Amino acid sequence: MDLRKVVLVARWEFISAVTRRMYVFAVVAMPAIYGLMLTAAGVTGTTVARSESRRPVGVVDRAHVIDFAVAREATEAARTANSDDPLRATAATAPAPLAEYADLDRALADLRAHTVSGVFVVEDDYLSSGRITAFGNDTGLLSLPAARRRQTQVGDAIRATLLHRALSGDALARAYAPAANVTRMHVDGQGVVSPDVASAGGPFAGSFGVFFVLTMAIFFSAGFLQQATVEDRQNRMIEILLSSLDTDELLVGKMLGLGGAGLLQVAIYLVLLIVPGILVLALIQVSIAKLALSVVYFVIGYTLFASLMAGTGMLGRTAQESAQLSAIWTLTAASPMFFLAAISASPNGMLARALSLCPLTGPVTMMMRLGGGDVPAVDVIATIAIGIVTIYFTLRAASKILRAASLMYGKRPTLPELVRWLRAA
Amino acid sequence: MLDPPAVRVDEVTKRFDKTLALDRVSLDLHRGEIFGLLGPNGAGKTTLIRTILDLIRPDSGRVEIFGRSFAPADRNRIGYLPEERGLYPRQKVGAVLEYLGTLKGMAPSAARTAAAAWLARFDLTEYADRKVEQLSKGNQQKVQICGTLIASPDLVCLDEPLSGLDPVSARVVMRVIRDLAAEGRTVLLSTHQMNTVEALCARVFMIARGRRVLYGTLTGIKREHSTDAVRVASSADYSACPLVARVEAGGVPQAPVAVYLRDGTSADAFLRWLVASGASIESFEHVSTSLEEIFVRVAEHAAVSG
Repeated sequence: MDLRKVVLVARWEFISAVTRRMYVFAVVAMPAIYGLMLTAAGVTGTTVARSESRRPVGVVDRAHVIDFAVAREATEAARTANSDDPLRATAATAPAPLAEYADLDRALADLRAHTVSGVFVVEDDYLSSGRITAFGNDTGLLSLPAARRRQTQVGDAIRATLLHRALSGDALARAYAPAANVTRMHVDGQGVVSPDVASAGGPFAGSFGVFFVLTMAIFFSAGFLQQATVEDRQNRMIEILLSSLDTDELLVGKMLGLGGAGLLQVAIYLVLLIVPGILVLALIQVSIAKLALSVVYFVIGYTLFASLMAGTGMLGRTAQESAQLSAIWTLTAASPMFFLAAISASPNGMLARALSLCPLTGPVTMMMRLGGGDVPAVDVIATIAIGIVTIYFTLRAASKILRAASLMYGKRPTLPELVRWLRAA
Repeated sequence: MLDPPAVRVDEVTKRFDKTLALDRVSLDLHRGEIFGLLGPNGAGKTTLIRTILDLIRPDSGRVEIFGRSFAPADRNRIGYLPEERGLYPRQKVGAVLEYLGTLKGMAPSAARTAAAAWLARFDLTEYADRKVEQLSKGNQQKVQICGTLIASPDLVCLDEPLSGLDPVSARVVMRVIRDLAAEGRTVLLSTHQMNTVEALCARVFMIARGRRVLYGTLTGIKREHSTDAVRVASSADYSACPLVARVEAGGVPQAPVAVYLRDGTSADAFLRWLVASGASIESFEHVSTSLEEIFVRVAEHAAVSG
């Protein structure tokens, strides 16, 4: 293989890809548009939430079971105690205050005037019957969660008052926030006990995010390759190129150039969108070894799917047909995502290991498993070996298909022809 | 010692499924010659070219380039203009030519210089910084020819290089082809334009249904396949001549008639008989069969004989 020609093709393909209008649009304009939309959604959402939280909840306490000062104190104590616990962390905004009303008519008038967000009547016989009547005028998708939140708030106020009458000191504090100081430990398959970092939500989501981004890079880059190969065929350039270099040089050059374009796209997305967020945290918490392994799986995954998509892309008569044919690989590669919950819950379970050992689902599954916890060395060695062997065969097959199909203009090869080419590979 | 031929095809056979595309084809291309490759559509011309260029491997037989089996480095010495041609439509003309030149082993600066020179030769200098898709089809074709020739190849395979070109551009391309041969480069010219072949080629190869049906020098082939006929306007009674096989009269009195001579009879012998007969002779012309007529006749014969 003439490496100089490989580099020439890679350089040409990279520059051609990154200077396309669609690429520039996808890399710069799309994140900007999505960023604006997310910002707008965030601003409006926060505004609505704030306005909701500012409006008090009206309470007509006919049973006289709520001490409003005690209720406020209890709410504040619970918020402070839970603030460090990711499993119990409450919303950033403080809950709405409770407003006491002496009579229902006034409360309902304020409800109609949107001075209060809801009205709760704690009936005279509450202690014996538990009867509460709730009034609200919410509409829309979020009305039910809002009503539930208000109901919980009134319930907490009643509980706090009742407990305040029965308990004091630490007992009362524990009653307000009974599981505020929990240390989580993880027991692995070998019985080793260690602090459970994964269940701390944010870090897990972050480390998983790194691997997810690399997975997305595989699809971006392999998609570019499939598109470029089809274009070469449509432009009638393939035959001219193959008179200057062999199919392996062309294929590897394209894979390098377009893989670089895909990685650049993801890198720009990271800088523009994700770096300010959760990924910074993740990068700090993901070990270098795992990150390096993820890059290995990225290279295996990209090479595998790029060769598959390039080969399949050559089989279609049009770009659209080629894209439809190639979709089967994208779906297969992405299939481990359907088992995200199962794999993250049990990264070394039967399902995760089975998907890892399957050549087509292995790279993505392994990246997901690395995001979920430690992976046995034997799994790493086996999946890398399987990946390399599979790549050897897919590259050879893609090269043969590229060579044979590129000379069939406007025709789709028949199944026997395809079988013959693959046998020749 | 004589130089080996630029290309030697020896008993090459290639089958695609049930179609026999090449059937024990053999030919030599001499260095510095313009060699015509003829044949009806689907005869196997493109398969033969692709086999010579190692784009297709033969099922049996052997192809030698520059005196030995094809080596990857030979790609740098070959320029190929395929019949199904194209360029990168969104790229600039100069950049595409530079890319094609570097793929043939040229340094980028040398490729740029050569690209500029070829564009100038085809009067396309002003288009160097334009995108390919902004050029007319004819100009795009000229750019493709520039791309084929940019690395000064020793073997040039041109598949229908003149199709789609206006007469002025076609003349420029023909001059370029002649110059290539004069520089010692070998040109394999595949075309359906018989007048182009007659104007450029000394030797031709005609293929039909994957088999060789004509191969040799143009003059030899024309001599071999010409009908022995003369066009004569005279007062002679041709039916009295023992050398004449038949006469085709145009129906116009005193107009020349086509006189077909018996096998082995030369036009000179018939002229001597005519003079000796004492007839007045207004005109006497040996009828030469055109390559196109030979092509049609041979192609039809090949189609009938299967």
